[in-house]
Amino acid sequence: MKKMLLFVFLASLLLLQAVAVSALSAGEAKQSWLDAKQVSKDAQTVHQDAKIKWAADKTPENDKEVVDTGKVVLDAALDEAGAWLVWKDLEAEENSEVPEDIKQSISDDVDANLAKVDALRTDVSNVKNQFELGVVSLKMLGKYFELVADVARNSGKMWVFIANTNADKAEEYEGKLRSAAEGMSDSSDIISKLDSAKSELETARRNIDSAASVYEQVRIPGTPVLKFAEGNNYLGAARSNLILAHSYLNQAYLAMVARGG
Amino acid sequence: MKKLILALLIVAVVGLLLFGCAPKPATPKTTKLVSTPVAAKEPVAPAEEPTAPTAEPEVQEEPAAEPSPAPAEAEPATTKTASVPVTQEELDQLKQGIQGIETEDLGGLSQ
Repeated sequence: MKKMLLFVFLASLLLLQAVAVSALSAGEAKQSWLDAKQVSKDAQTVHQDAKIKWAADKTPENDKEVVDTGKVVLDAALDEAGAWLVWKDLEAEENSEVPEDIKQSISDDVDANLAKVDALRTDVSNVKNQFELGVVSLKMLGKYFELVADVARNSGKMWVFIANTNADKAEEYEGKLRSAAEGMSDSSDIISKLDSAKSELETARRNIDSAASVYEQVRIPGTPVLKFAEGNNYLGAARSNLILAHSYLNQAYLAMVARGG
Repeated sequence: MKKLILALLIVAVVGLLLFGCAPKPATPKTTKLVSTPVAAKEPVAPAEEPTAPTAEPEVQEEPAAEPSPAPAEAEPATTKTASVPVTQEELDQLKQGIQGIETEDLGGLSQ
């Protein structure tokens, strides 16, 4: 009877967890990640204080506090990585522009890495003393970026795809507006704006291509975090180029409409 | 055995009810708008970058020209004409799509 009750309880917990995750939006998941990040930072401060206290007075109580706060730090780091993975999964899932294969790839990676997070949690919970804390910390240091590298790489690919889709559309509009402007008399000012738009679009493409190339290098072994940041920089620059290109297109469009186009 | 089957049934029914009532996912992130205009000749920084990346891209090309202020608002055209084959609506949608491009720095993860 007890076994059955336990089974029902566990099954209910699993269901509730599934419901909670399915109810989360990408925006909420992002906020959860930011919250987890703050918790992680706070836990590190508390752990540092405990270490200072222990260094000054090496009592068994202070030793225990170092171990306990250290375990909290490791758990918080795992929470943070887990929250980031869940956010990236939902971000892709909710975006209608993302192709199914990329969504699936991100989802698979997230599932695999969340399982790794759970395995590391078991290691953390088994820590009994400062020596074991050090060993698990070192192990986590090696594993930590493995948890996020695959998803970061696929997430980068997703944004490259979206950026290229928008660049395609902008180029299409630029071409259409140019054809129409060339048929108008005294349209040099409009053509000039379209030239500027075209130039921005070309720069945007170069930045998107660079981002794609760098995101491909987000792998272990290597420096996945640095490469991801570098890819994000390229994509941020491409976004700015696209916004400027759009601004020129809009100006050209309004000028054409004002002339009774 | 009967009790186990009954328990499983209860769990299944509760699950179905909960899933059926679960809220729908929020609107896609791509519809998120950023209202601030782009500063001329300076690429806009990503919306949220927790930490500055340590590696700078080698090629950071500046926008080609300074955009002049937009002319006075014209009546938005919702249908294509022979001489203006693009609508304001299409351009607005493009803007939304571009502004929806958002990356997040992994460096923000605690190390």
